[in-house]
Amino acid sequence: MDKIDISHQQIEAIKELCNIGVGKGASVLNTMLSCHINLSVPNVRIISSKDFKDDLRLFAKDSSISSVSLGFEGKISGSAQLLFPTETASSLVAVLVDENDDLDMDALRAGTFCEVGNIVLNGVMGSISNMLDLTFNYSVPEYIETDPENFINKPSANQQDSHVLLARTRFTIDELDIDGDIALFMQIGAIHTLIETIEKKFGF
Amino acid sequence: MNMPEINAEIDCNYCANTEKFTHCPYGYRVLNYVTVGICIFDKNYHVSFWNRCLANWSHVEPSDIVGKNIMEYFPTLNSPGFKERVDYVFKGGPPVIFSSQLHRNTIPCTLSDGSYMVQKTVISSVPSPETGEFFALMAIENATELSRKVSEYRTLRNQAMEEVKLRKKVEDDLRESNKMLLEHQEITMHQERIKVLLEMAGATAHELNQPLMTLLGTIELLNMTQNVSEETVKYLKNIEKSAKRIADIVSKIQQIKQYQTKRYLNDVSIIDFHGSTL
Repeated sequence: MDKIDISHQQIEAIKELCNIGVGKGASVLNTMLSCHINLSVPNVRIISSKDFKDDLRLFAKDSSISSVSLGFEGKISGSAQLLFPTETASSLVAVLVDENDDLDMDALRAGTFCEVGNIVLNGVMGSISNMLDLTFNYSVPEYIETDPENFINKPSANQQDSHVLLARTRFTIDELDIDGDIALFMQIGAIHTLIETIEKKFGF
Repeated sequence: MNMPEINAEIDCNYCANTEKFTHCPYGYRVLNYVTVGICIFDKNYHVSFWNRCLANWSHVEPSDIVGKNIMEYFPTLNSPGFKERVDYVFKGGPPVIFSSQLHRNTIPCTLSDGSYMVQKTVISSVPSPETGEFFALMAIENATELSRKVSEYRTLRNQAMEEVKLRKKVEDDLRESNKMLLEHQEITMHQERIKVLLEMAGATAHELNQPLMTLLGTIELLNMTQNVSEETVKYLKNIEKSAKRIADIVSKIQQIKQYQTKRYLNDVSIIDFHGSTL
């Protein structure tokens, strides 16, 4: 498997792209919702799908994983996903729609979570697309809920040379402070193309 | 597989293109056969297509809305939350979702019972093959039934949760009442024991005191008698000693204040006179 060679500056550039994207997402959410939401990306890593498996198991704890998946194709292809442990996703929706937190992740909540994920991922993909002059064809976002093992075994997450650009995203809403993951699943070639594009665009 | 033939001679009344269906550059007309509300509009929000399903739901005919600004027709769409997100679709951005829980509906449609249809809407960008510009394709699903079912499920679930909570509270209360009852029973039994014990002790002391006084008096008289052998004196001393011991026990019985027992033979408990007087 090829090794990803990426500099600190390049990682910082990706982090900045993600921060601009989630910032846009937060701005849209704040115009729609009565509560104030703040989003930030404290760290970004590029890891192999194998390391991602271990990371996801820890992240999910004993819960299943709820994700919103947005596929994209173009010069760089892959899938962007917003991931939360299901219980956390349900709590997030409960705060956003001012509901009782005891409820399950039912179809209505899943739909709402899908919209929240759609807003955040559109912000991130829009930021990458605009800043790096890239165009993509997108699939319609879908909601997926499964246990971490099944999630990891999905083809998009389990291709041998696939890598994950993992941006841990902090959601701060009123008194709720939770972490979600924005994961961009890409083949190693796509990661290299992304890094090359950043090099050309920003000169490092 | 053979595709069904579509009558090419029928005018397409559902889009801005006045040509026959066979000349429709986007093949929109096939969207009249889906059970999803479809509307296509350009970057100026001018409607270019309004399908049959959406016409039936909204009671707005394509001839009334095609070519017009959708936001003027449905002013609720003219909100920052809507426009800010949809504008990016005209630049080829990702699809935009409007969930039923956060928005209830995108195009207000009245149902037969007078209520509004709950909708889930996805707006995707569709590139024009001619100009390369992007159109917005708005697909609206009727989520009323799903929403109703979920609401029913939530009501039932909440009722079940309330019942479980109530049952748990009743069980806790019952457990507490039972504990208090047992404690009360224990106190009552203890008080009853003391009462019986005190009555018994009083009666015993009273009844023993009479013959005991006689016995002690007689011993006193015998002690004053002359010409008594040494052996008899010795017996008298023993009798006097035992009589005083009985007097001491009677005195203790009179002083009993509480119920205290001590182990006796064969797992039998007897009243501890000494402990009961403390």
